[in-house]
Amino acid sequence: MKTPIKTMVRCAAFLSGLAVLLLLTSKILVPKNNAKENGMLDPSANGILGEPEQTIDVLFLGDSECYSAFIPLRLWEKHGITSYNCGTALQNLYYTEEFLEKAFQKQSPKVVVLETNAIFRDFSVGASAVHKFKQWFPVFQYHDLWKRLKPGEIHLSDAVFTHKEDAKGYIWDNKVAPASPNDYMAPTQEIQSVSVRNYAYVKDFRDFCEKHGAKLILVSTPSTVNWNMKRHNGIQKLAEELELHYFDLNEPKSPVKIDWAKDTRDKGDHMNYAGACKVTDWLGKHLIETGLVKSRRNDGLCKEWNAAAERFNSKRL
Amino acid sequence: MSFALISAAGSKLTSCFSAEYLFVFLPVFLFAYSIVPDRWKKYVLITASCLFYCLVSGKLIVYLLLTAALMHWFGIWLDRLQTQMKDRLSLAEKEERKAIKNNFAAKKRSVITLAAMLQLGTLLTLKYTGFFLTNINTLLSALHSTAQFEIPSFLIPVGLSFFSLQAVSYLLDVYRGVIPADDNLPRLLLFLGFFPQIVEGPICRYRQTADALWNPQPIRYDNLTHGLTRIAWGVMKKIVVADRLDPLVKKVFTDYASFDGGVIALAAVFYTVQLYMDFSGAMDVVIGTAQIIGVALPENFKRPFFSKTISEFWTRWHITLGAWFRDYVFYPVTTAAPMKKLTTRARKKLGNHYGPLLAGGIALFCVWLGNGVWHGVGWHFIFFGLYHFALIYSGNLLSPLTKRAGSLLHIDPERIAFRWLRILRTTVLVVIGELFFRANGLWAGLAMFKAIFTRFSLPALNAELLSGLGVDWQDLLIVGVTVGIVFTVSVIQEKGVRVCDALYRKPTVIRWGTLYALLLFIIVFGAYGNGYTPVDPLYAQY
Repeated sequence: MKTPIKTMVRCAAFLSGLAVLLLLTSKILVPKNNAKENGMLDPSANGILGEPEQTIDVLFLGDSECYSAFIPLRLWEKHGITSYNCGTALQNLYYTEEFLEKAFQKQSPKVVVLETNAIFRDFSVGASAVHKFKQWFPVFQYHDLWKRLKPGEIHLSDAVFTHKEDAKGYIWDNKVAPASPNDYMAPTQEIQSVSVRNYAYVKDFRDFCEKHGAKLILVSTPSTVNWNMKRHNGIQKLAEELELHYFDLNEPKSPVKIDWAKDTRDKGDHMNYAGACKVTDWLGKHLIETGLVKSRRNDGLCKEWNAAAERFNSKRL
Repeated sequence: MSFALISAAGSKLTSCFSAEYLFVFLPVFLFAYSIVPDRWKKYVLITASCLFYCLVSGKLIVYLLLTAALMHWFGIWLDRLQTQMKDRLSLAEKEERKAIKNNFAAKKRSVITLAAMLQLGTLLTLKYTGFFLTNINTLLSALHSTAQFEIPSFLIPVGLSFFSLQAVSYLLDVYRGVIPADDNLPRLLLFLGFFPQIVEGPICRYRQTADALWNPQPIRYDNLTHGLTRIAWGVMKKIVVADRLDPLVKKVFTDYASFDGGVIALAAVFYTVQLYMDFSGAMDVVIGTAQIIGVALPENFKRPFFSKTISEFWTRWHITLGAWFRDYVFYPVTTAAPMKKLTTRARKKLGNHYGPLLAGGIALFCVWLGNGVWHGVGWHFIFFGLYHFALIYSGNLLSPLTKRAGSLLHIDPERIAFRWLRILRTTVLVVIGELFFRANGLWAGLAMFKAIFTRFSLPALNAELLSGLGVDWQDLLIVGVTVGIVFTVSVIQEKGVRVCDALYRKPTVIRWGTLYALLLFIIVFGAYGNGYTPVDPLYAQY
């Protein structure tokens, strides 16, 4: 029988060799650019990787509520604020963390807006561990790229991200499916607690932002389907404990007046373009008035952002 | 350990192929198992097994616990009757003995009947009540009656079909005196609920695993490496082949009316491949897991597609189920007194070949009806069972004729070409059976089978057709390559080589290189992650 130490050494050696092979395979089977055609997942949100360095001042994170409610190019047109929306469908906070870290690699946003619906999306430790593992070894995420790999593309060179998304992460939708609000924000003292795991993630986001000189803001965008007073109370409590600014646009006294007959695309679940304009206009005004972000119309970004806005508007119309 | 396993596995532990099982549950279990003293290892096994079942099936663990308790109770009851009989016999006069034996035999028969009815009755009630009442309602409608039964829906615990058969086999073995009753309830619970095997088997006998599980061994290096290799091999079959074929199979079997006979025939072949890779892959993971802790579970597959007849196929496919029906249905029916009388009379009139086939046919019919019913709810499962009954029975009836025809035509049955022809014929018959097995009902199966002959046009498998089926040519390429690898290994195994042992005798470079290649093959070519829907093990539903 082999001695335990010898066995452990052999296991460690085998696993180390496997890790090296996985790293090498991950270098090959990874999108070489950040466009959909290159196999990039969530290309709209990953468009931030193609933005020139130090050009984004506001970063939006969250799930579909996020990419439906914040329009970066409207922020630019109305207030001269450069922003990017990294919202993705069903975004869990471990995925939010990935985008936060990715964004700060080339950017130094002054403000990070976290849409709060994602904070109530639970997940297992296993799921977050698997996600982290995929970040270390992207081959687990992008293994299917073997299907589109041509012989000349099998190399270990680093990816170069040059693709830019015209809508800067916002996903345009102008459908109208009216909602019946039915007093969805009826007052209550009840609190829907944030899970321990998600609480820890938000705390980490705050610390990360502080470390990088950014301010984390929590925003609950209007949604009769996903939001209620219990959730509001839960986030309010979390915001107070973590000393974060929290804005709930569902509250009756909210400065954003949503017309539920016109401003939602799916019966109150998400904002449509009209609703997103109201949310974005409020946020832009707030950011400028509080001095958190300044207009960048006068620096060299103007030409490129105006052109992107023009393309976005032409596609939209 | 409990907390670590629960919190780590979360609620997504669905099968032995889930990432939560392979990367969290199993490693945490093995760690806990390896660090506790030997005398506690069995408790780690029981805890892990109960936890696994709770995570997979939640509160339905009650069924498992109840089954174990009933096994325990009825087993001891049977044992006591045996002891009482022996005591009475030792005191009895010679002429009283027969009466005492008959009296106790009747009592034991009553007890075992009650026990088997409880076990199998639960299984049939939970699985078949809806089917039975639906058919009654259809009959009532046909008779223009307005009365209709309400169809109840039951939550069926995972693995019920498997552990119920294990429980019945234990009780029948105690009844027959093959094994003594076990007075250790936790040991019985572990025998029934050992976590790798609870979902899809193999269906073990008490003598095969109970003691080994109750006295588990420390993890040895060779067991660990062999077990992990076998697990990886099983994962490859499931993730690379079975799951990759799933969209195609699902699409064609769901929407069969939209496809021509060529595509339906192809889908039947692909489904047979999928089912084999899925089920045998699961068995590799289960047996590999048990191997790590030094427990040898019985094999459930022995390269079934090398079978020359359907009878042989069923000695190589789902072996433990076939053995269960053989030992607890076929033999008892054929050796029952009325059957023996029937055989004796038939032998006189029909001769030595056809005579025994009469009683044997009745027993075989019971086996295949039971096999069909066991597999699932629906007339197509019953048809599936009876289809195999018809094939095997007609094979038995015709065997003198075929032998005579072979000798007249000077066909050497041992010639390779003839052997491969028989293998091909058996495979085609198996594929037809699997078409009915997978079809969404008997009528759908018949319509699909008919379409193979009436709408067969073998359309070019162009890219458009493939993408309509949810797969592309790369998918089929990788399925072909993997099936080729499995086939090559099977050929080597058919020659009596134990591939894993042979691999571990090779130098480290070759050994590690092979393992790295296997693991990278699974990681790169597996049908998992974005764009793929995880597919639950196919036999977990039966």
